[in-house]
Amino acid sequence: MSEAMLTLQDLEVHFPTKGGVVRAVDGVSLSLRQGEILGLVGESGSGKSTVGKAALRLIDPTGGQVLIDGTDITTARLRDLKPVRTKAQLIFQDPHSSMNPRMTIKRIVGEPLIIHTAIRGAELDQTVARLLERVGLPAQFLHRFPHELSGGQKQRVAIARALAVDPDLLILDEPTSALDVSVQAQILEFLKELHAERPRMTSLFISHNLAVVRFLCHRVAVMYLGKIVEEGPVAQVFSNPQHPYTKALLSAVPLPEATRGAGRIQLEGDLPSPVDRAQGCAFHPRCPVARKGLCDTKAPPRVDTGETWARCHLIGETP
Amino acid sequence: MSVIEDIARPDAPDRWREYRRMWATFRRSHSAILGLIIVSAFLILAAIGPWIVPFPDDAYGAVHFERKLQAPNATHWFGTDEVGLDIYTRVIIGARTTLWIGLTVTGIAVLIGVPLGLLAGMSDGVLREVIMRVTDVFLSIPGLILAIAIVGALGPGILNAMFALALVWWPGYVRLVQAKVLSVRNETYVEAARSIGASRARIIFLHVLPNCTSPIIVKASMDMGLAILGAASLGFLGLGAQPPYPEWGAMISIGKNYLPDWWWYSLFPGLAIYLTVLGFNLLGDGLRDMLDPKQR
Amino acid sequence: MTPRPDVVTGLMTVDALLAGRPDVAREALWHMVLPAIALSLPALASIIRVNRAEMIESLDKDYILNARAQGVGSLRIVAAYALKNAILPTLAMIGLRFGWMLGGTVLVEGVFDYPGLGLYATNAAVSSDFDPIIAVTLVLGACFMIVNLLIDLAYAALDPRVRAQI
Repeated sequence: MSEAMLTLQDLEVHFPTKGGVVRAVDGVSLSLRQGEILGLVGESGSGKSTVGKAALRLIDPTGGQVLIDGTDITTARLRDLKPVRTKAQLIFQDPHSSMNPRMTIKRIVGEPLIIHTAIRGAELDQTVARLLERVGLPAQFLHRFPHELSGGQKQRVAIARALAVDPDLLILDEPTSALDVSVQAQILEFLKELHAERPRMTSLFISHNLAVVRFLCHRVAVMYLGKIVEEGPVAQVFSNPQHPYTKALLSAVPLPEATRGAGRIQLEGDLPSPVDRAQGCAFHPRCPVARKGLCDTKAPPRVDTGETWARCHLIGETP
Repeated sequence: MSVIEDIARPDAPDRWREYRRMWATFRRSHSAILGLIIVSAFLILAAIGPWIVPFPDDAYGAVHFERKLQAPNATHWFGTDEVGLDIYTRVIIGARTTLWIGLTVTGIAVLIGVPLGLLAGMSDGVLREVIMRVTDVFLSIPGLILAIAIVGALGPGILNAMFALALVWWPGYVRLVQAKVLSVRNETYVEAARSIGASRARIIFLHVLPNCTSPIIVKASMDMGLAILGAASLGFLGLGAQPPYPEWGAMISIGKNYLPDWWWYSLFPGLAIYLTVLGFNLLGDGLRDMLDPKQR
Repeated sequence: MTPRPDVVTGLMTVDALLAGRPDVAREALWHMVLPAIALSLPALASIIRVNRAEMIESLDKDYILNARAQGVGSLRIVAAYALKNAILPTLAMIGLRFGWMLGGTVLVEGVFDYPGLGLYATNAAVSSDFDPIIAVTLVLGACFMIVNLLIDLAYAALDPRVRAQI
């Protein structure tokens, strides 16, 4: 087994607000091996995007540890983060707003090179052109501005920018959810290709789309209210989900594996506010199988089932 | 190979394309073009004024009682004043004074206000609070009143008037720039710049500031007109340029005593102020439509 | 000119009414008409302009379309639906313009020789008499602040989103 490219150890991100402390991320531990694609799924508001940003120190974690390729970056000063920025890159949900509207594509893709390398002038131009070619864009785009490109083209530019520094770790924050379905498929195919040709490339793929995760990822972690409730290989989690929340999520998506069981599980209510979190299991107010006196008083333990683990009191009992 | 050909091209073509697109937007508005024409005419007059006026000696005060208070005629197109000075000459020469005032006041305000606004926008905590509260204090008193108070303390005169106007003008830029910086720095592209390891200076000067320039340019263009109006107001009140200095406000200040019989005395300097301020305002509107399509 | 009535409040119109002299009050009011028009015209222009732009924008929103689809009358749409949203930026402009008008009084009083605070401050400034200037600055500054406070309160009254922040 190869070494871990990204390790999150009890990661915590708490935001103080007027209404109380928002525990956006509350003790998340994850480990991504080299070459692995891990899907992080959850409803909007579950804290999955915050995990991605905290992993790159774009948001300062309030607790826990972040290790990128063995280096602890949790408390590194901004100056010392610079080498990390060539190792790990982030791709944003909305490619349009992630590009400075006043820069041409050439400058946008060339910026990481200017910051981290001594490549300048004609060599820079050629490197950028090669990067664009790699993501399937013609070189005419060099002189365009972001607003002149379509959504899919912009996301390709964003990927080209991320690839400029030859990173080993990509954090993809819902990279396809702002795109049309047909374009989504292209981008996903491209990401898969990219991983096939770069065996060291490791990705944390943040998404709310289970079908996409199933297509692209090796493993999946399900987040609910700042905590991971279930994690395991995609095939196992999708065919045999342990946690009732995962079951509910899967039952809402038309997937081939999800045909087993008693059809659709409807969750009551919305995602509660992360401020007034429930006692015991955070999911119990919406859980269809929650047991009084147990789920609403005690935090659930971690239960391992083969390669999968989940946090629920009721695993092993008949649901 | 087309790839190499394409990247061999310098950056210039895309810039020009962008400028052409902006110009097309600008040209569509008649009032913006009118503003541009007025401002250009004003700038040309200010540049070549001393060489085209019929009575250059009249500009900074001379006495010709033999031709005082003449109505507009073939020799004196705008008439003469109470000591026989040619008003046409003085209005044209006045354009220089006015341009000088407008540029100085706006320039100082931008030079003080923009860096402070950037600083307040990019920093958190104490520094921002200090800058913004001082700004609020300045903004809580109507500008002209504050300028009068400052001139009252320093004594009347054109330099003091300009100083006073500059001193009441910069807080507007702090507000504008700070608000813009606050919104820009939360943009995803700034986060993206951080994620690729851009330094703080790089983020401020390459990503934040260029995206704040449009409102600054628009405000500066409008403020040229307003600063001119402010200086003319102070001149009119006897607190700015002192007669016989060729400044439009000061000319009206004396000329108003000769209303209504000798109407040309204050009418022509008044028209000059009106047209100049109008020109800069129309230009500013046009620039806003051109640079900030969202604000339309 | 008619003799000045006894000073009670210091406001000519009010004092004249208190003294039972409506003719004097009318004359005092008459003297305010032109300065008031001169002061208000520029403010009028910019307030109309802002309100027009905002009305056009809010009339273009989907909730207006929805109201039309549900058969709400045109007058009601304009007055109750669109204006309520357009009035907020207009209020901000009114506050801004009020400050300008306070400054403008100085000029207008100069032109009309109207013996107000502005003229007082100007004369003091010309003769470098500093105390009256400070006093006028403070009084007008306080006026401006009170008006801005009122506008902020009106904002809160009209916009539930602002209210929620308080």
